[in-house]
Amino acid sequence: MGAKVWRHLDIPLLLLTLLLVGYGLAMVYSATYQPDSHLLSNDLLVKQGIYAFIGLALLTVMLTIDYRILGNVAHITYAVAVGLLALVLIIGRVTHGSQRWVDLGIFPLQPSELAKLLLIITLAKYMADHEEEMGEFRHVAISLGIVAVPAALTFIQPDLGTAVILLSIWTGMAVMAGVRLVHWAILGVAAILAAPLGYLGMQDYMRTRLTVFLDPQSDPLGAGYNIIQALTAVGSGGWLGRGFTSGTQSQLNFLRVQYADFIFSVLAEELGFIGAVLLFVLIVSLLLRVLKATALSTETFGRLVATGIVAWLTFQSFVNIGMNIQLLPVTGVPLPFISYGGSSLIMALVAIGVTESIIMRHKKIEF
Amino acid sequence: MYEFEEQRWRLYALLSVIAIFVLVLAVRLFDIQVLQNARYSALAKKEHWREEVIPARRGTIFDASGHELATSVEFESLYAITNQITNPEKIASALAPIVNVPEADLLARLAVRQTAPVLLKALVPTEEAEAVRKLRIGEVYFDTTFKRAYPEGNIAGQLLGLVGRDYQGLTGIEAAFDADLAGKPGSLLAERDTGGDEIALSPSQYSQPHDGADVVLTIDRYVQRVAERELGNAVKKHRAAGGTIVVMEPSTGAILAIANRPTFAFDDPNLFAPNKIGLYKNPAVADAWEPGSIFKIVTMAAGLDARAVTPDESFNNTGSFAYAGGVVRNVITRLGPETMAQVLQRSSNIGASYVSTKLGAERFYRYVSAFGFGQPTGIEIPGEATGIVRTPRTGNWYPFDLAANSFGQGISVTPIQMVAAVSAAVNGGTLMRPYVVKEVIGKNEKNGRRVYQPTILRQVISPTTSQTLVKMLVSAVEVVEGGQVRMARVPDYQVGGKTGTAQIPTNQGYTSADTIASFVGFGPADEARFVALIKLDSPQDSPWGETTAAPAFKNVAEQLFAYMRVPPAKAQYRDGNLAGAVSVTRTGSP
Repeated sequence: MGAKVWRHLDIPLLLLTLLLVGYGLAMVYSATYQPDSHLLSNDLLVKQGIYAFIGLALLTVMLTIDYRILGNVAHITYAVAVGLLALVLIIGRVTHGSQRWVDLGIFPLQPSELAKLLLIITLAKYMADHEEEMGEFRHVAISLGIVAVPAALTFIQPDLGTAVILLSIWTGMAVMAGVRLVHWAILGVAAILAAPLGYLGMQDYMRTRLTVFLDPQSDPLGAGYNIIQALTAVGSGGWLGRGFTSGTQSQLNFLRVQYADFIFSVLAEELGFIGAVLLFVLIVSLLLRVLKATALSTETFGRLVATGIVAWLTFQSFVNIGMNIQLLPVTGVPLPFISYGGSSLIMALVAIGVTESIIMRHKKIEF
Repeated sequence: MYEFEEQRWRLYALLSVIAIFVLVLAVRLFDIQVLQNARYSALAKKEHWREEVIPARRGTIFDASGHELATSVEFESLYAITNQITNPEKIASALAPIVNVPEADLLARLAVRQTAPVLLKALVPTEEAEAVRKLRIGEVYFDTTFKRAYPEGNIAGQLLGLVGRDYQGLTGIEAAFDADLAGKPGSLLAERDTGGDEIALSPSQYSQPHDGADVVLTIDRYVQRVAERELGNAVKKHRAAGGTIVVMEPSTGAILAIANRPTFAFDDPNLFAPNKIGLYKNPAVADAWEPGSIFKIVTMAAGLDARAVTPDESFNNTGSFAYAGGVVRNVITRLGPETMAQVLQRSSNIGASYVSTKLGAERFYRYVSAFGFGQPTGIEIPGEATGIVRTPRTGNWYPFDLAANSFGQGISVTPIQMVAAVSAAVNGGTLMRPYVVKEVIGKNEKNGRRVYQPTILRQVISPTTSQTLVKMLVSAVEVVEGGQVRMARVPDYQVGGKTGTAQIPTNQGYTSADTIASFVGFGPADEARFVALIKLDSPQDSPWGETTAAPAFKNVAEQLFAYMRVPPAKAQYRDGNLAGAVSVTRTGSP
């Protein structure tokens, strides 16, 4: 590896990543804040710190690896993704009524988090290999098939949120790969026709979440509870919020699992509209830096991987924040960089590493 | 950069999706965080700021000399926070023997898992509460509540009135003075977490409860007891459906006692049963009846004061009195000349009609109105009736009514009106507003002490007329006629008064065999300390006021003389000579 590629290391992207990780750690600290306890006695914060460290280490490793190598092992990454998702269904740990984790002893792995990046690589490889033929419906269908298998596996975990995100990743990449308008139309019609079937195939909890999303007061102490609490927390934040570690809804446990999927509510309550807008600015700036990789990259595989990462982070952030403010139904999707959770944080950092690798190596020939 | 350059729109498509997402989220966030901030803040506050009401102590109702008639006693009630309990069996078995509640019952209540406290036992006696406190069970606690207590027992029920379960005055003085008695509850606003626990060191707002004001009545508990006892005896003895005794101080209008039968008991566990509702009102002010012969006092007062008749005047009683197409007769008629004093002594309907018709409708009804009939007296007791006085001006009046009204028929009055009117007739002619509350003693500066003074409404008759009337009414009790000693007579004392035996009007006229027997009297004669009305509804052994209500009056008067330390008087009226009565002198004062 030539030392010259380091010239192109995107420092702003790294800084934005570190800021988001820091923001996330601060929010996890606040969400799990205990007034009289020592910083290091906060189990979740310490763990999240370790995950951040692992993630940053892996990010650094990714910088040294030419991302193109990933394309060569695309079939392996796909096998790993599907295999893990299948494994989690067999030996997975059931939490919150869903089988999403595989216990690795030191750390519960959430394969659906891993699957996103692995799938992006697989899809990018396939679409890049058939760059000229993506106008053919056959390749559109096959690429869709590639994503359909892991999407179906996550759907039956059940994890509707991740399944939707996987499909969103494919959509973003397919746009970039140049799927024709007429094929989009066909897929659109098919999706509309399949919608009722999809509803019938939903798990009961998913339907409940949909109903409750439409009317949280229908079950204020049950399924609607967190929606109402989240909205109350966010709404009471105002312009500047109640202050760091002073959010009453989140600190007094009115909000459940506030450090994970509902961490945005904590942020919005404690740091207010300004704090939320700051988060938006950080995320959007980061997405723009990743999009830069898309624009810079001179070869299709890199461009598509970066596109997939943008689509992933964009949709996942939107879905997560949307459910915190009752814009979207509740799905168990973490907020990238911010939510507590090892798999999510580590994979997001690895993705940034991959992006950097793409940016660093965007020139075909280094002089 | 070659072909990708032409496809930059794909990049812009992704960019615009991001832009739309950010815009949507920001708009939504702005809406709920900034525009709807007040609403959600209130929601959040409501959720984790719990307001605890600290009850105010309801004021005490005292009698005139400071005895508690109704007061508030502090009680403790035992509550459990069930969603924190891990060992309900242990708690139930520990508590059961102390608080005397079956263990199974306690266990059933502890099994209810909820954030709100669960009541284990209301009104726990102090020693039980102490024993429970010694157990130091963290999940149970005591809450202080108040209960209305009646140290004098079940007296003056309708007058004092009821307090509901929410500790609000429902009837009687409790209702009329609820704003004073109730006080203002305080509150403790504290921040709580989802478990309902108060958060240590979090700001809390405490507002102190303001105890209710005390109300001092003009009622005298002894006089009240006498009235209750004698009314109860009379109702029982004469198998009456009910009755009322009102005792008033004629010089001031202060009510000394109001007793009614039937009544309710404050300690009746079924006090709020639907069939008890009829007992809540106070018939002494709320029920009007045709008073019958006791109304002749009013007629005679009017006739004398207007000089339509003179005290010495007599007329020839022919056994009937035809007037305006009707005929008035007496129950027992003595033919021949009849003096005005004899009209009252013999309770002559013909004589009363003679007076009222000589007076004329205009003057007669002016006096009736001046004595306060047909209008509320303004006493503080809620639900006062006005009675019905028909006059040529009100319509539905017939000329014969002038004759019938003179002896208390075709006109209805309330006991309180009657007592007030007779008081005016014998106190020198001044109508006093009857009142039952003499003081409200607030507990803070803002709501201080209010003293109610006697209120003179108007001079109805002249003092001279009043003096004459007193003598006539004394003679109506003292004069022995036909060897029959009057039942209202009090040995060694001079009392005056008048019996009444009123027929009860029905839709078909006076067809009922039942009567309302009454006696209104006063004593001592020279300067009345009390006016008492005894009214018995449908006595069964004898229909007459003379045989039922008059003896009850005698009993009441006898005890009041002793209680008020009124020295015995010489019997100056007993010869039936009105001239002797006129020369009565004061026999001394206590």
